[in-house]
Amino acid sequence: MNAIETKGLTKRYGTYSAVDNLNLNVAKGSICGFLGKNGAGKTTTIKMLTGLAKPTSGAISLSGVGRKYGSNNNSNIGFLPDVPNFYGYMTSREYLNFCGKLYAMEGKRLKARIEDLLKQVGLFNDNKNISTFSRGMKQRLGIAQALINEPDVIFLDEPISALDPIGRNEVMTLIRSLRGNITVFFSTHILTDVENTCDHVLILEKGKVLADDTIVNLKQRHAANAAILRLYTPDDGHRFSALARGQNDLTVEPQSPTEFILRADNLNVLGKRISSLLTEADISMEGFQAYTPSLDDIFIEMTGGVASE
Amino acid sequence: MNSYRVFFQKEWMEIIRTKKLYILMGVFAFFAMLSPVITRYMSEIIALATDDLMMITVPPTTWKDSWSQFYGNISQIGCICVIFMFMGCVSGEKQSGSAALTLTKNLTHTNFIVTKFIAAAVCFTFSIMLAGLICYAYTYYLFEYAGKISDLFMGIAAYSTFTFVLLSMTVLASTIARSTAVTALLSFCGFIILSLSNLVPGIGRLLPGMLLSKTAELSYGVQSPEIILAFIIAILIAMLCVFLSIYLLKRQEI
Repeated sequence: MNAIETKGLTKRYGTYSAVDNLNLNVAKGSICGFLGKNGAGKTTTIKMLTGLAKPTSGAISLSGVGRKYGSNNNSNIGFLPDVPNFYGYMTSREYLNFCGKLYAMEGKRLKARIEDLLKQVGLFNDNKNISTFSRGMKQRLGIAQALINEPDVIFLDEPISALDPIGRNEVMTLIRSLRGNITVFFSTHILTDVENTCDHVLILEKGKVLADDTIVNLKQRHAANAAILRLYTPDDGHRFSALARGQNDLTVEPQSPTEFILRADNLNVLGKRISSLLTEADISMEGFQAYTPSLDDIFIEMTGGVASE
Repeated sequence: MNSYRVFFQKEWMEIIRTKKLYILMGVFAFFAMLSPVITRYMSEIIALATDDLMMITVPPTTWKDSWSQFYGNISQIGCICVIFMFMGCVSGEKQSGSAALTLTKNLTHTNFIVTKFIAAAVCFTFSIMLAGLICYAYTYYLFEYAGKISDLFMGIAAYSTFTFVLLSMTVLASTIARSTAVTALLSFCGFIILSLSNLVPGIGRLLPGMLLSKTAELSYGVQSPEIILAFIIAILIAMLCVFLSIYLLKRQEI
């Protein structure tokens, strides 16, 4: 059974489709990275999944239970928005106590859960009001409140966007620790973290899904017909660029004066073509190997590499 | 019922810790103490303020004037305090994002609005009751009579009911608006309309403005049969505003 399923999920504002016919299938216990440029529809999707926005059409199912907008049954989900804001006059313990009680948790069970979570997120010894917390501390408290009810699925909207590298690492370690127990669905722009953490990646562009696959599959698919060529000198690089410009079936992407990513329909043919081109021009190569793209490369390639407005 | 209880506890903690209750109690208590004293020594104050050549005859003041002075003072300042205290109750939470966290737990939009209204109403009622008792005690001390205690509660009930309508309009304005500044503007417009509603020809005597204009009279025992209708209509308007707030919040993207 999938933890998150949507069928034809759509959100329109007038004639503009923020999310267009989204079909999601996220496996239970997996960590799913939700990627897309600004304005791609990520936050709107998360809002619909968490019941904060009413879908124009489509169906949502979380842990096999259909979700109806307006119902207050959020017992199986946790949510952390991009800029979490808590009641500043409370301490972290009081806030978690409030959240737990909203889920009808009481007594020793709730107290033990609060202490466990505060230890887990490193706020055990903080008894100050939340208004004095740093951004990182708020983010960690945000994760704790999302987990208070021991949910099946948690939705994290850009949980690391405004954190320093140390805070980012802490939060990502926390997210990784949830693997297998809880399904984590999180949106972010920091793709290296997705690469190091996620089992599954979903790329959204203008409200439509561009990719919905595991990172391994995505990389294999995008690496299939690409290779990386390294030359010894920039002069060799210039000459190679001039030669390659005349080849219609070869795409050359310079990475530096001596390094190029080459794409063609077939990797074997590509090797032979490059070999003959270099021999013809009397250029020695330092290295030639199959290219493994990073998630950044895949993302840029799929979304057209143009920053959103 | 659990979520109502838990959210009410949170709202009450907010009212205490952000000192809303103490400020409201302080403002009302100040006027409750000041009004009987000003009324009792009015002739002396006027005599001190004018020279010997100017002769102003001030009729002797009574305990009834003390109540008129009290309600005259709090009818505007008290209502303005209520607007300032509670104008951010929904818009502030939407703006800051805390509403998004709360509403993704087991709390409905209905719980959210109703509890906010009830908590604000309880805070206000507590403050005005205390002020009424202080004013009663001071009036009794200075004039040796302050009216029947049941009439004191009638006056407070009329003022409270008017303020509940104002509170419900503030909650509605706070739900409609995205910012507290817009909420304040809408609430003040609502306050002016409510205050003047008793001047509407024909039906004015049944509208909430009548409750505000009759608070002092009710405190010294003057009642009119139509006042009960004004109470009922005010309660219905307050309920309508609360229902409208729930309806609108459900349609908003938070």
